[in-house]
Amino acid sequence: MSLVIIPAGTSLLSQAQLIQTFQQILPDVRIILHSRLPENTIFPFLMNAGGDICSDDTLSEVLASHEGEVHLFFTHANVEARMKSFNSIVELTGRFPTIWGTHETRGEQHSQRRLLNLSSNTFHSFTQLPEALIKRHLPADIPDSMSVVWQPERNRLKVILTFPKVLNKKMPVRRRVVETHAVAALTQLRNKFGYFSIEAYHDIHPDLGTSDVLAARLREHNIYPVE
Amino acid sequence: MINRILLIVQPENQQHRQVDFLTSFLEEINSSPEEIVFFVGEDIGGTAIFEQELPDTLLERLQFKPIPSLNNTPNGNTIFNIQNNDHFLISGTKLQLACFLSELKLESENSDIVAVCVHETPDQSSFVFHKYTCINSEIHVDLETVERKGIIPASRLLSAKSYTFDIVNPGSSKLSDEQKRLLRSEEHSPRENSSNTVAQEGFEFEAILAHLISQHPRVIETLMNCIMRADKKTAREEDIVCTMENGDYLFISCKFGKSGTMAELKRLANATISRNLQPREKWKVLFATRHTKLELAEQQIVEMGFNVHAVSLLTIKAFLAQLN
Repeated sequence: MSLVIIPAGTSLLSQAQLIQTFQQILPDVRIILHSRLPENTIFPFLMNAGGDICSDDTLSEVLASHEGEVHLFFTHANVEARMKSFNSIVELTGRFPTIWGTHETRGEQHSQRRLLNLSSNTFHSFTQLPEALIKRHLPADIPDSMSVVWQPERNRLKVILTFPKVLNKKMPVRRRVVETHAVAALTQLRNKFGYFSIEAYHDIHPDLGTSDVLAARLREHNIYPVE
Repeated sequence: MINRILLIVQPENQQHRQVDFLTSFLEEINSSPEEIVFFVGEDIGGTAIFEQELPDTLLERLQFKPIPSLNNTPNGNTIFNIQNNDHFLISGTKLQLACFLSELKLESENSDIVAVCVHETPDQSSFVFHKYTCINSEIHVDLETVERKGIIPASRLLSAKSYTFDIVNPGSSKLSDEQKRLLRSEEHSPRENSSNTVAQEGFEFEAILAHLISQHPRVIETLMNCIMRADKKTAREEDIVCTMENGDYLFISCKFGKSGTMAELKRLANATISRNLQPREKWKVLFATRHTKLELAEQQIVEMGFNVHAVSLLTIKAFLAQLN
């Protein structure tokens, strides 16, 4: 049996997709979500999707008694979490794991996103998550000024922030309030699903006073003009 | 003894940070590498910042090597050609770090090798060293966290984000007669909440506060009039930003007039989000107001649970002194 470790902090959408994909690619696989705070981070789907959620201690026990190949998905969590999972494997097995990552090609005509085994340099297609599953887990209080679209081929949500056509030019604070609310609502969504699970765009009407200023400020938060 | 330092060049707007990362790292290890290798992707653009900002002694040892673009990274060939005692300052994309570690795995299967990966902690206060000693296909890992000695002044962070600003020189900063009068009136006969103010007094208030902050022994840099422009228009303006001796940053909004305290506090409560202040752990947000409005502001902060501190011209010194 082989073991796949997914580091803490990998976004919920990625975890869900990785479980399904690895189950298809690797026969007889056990998938471990290396988690810090299981109760707070569990996506309900993951509870019965075939992944085990392990704290540091439990992971140590699993690795200490495991004799087969160990795989590590390495490209989605922050560097601390990824290195922590990597080091746990090295310390407890005395070997480096087989490293996997997401590889994306971006072109004007054709974009492609695939799972890559870096040891064998082989690519695999991702299993796509159904839209109904994602919709079930969207927050109930998404504001009207925000549209959320599921992109299964990219495994990401596309979020478009819209702004009123006219703001009261005599009250510059009003624009700041609108901007802050929009960014705060987006941040809430990014915190729930993971920063890289969300592609964020703004749709600012050109008649909106100081639209270029607002666009510059939103760009700081990786929110770009809608295509 | 470090053989080589390896680093993947980031886009230009992040290269100031990479200069800081590299120079601080070299200060900490107090050792001189044989070579510094910068891997540059074809889609990165210029690297002039490194030539402008790195000292000549480092530039002499600097090599630029091409790295495949993100689209082409994994082609089955080795990218880094890892050598014994290489230090990889973690940079580039996540996939590129994955390539480095995968290449280390391959190398360790063929020969004994030691390699070190280094990254900063999220608050940028320390470096974490991951040392992999590979002997007879057995791997041993050692972890070490080293506190960063140098402080990155806020001016570096803001410059990288295309802000312009004025640096308050503590040696030459002086209060004008008008500013002295305003400070005395705050000290001895503060005006009622409801009394009118003129716009000029707001500017004087900012200047006095910046002066007082700049004179404080725990402050190493004070900036005023921090402005980011978009198409010649002001896109952001911050009143005062300062850097403390422990590496914390203070983001200070000044309100001397009658305008709504609560609205400003609400705005400031989201400042680290709405202004993308990084590293978030190091930024403290301050609301500076007239002394007579301080108590009200403090009440509102407590009631609403805002992560904002309120100060006045009379309390700023004590506030700075008690910061950890």
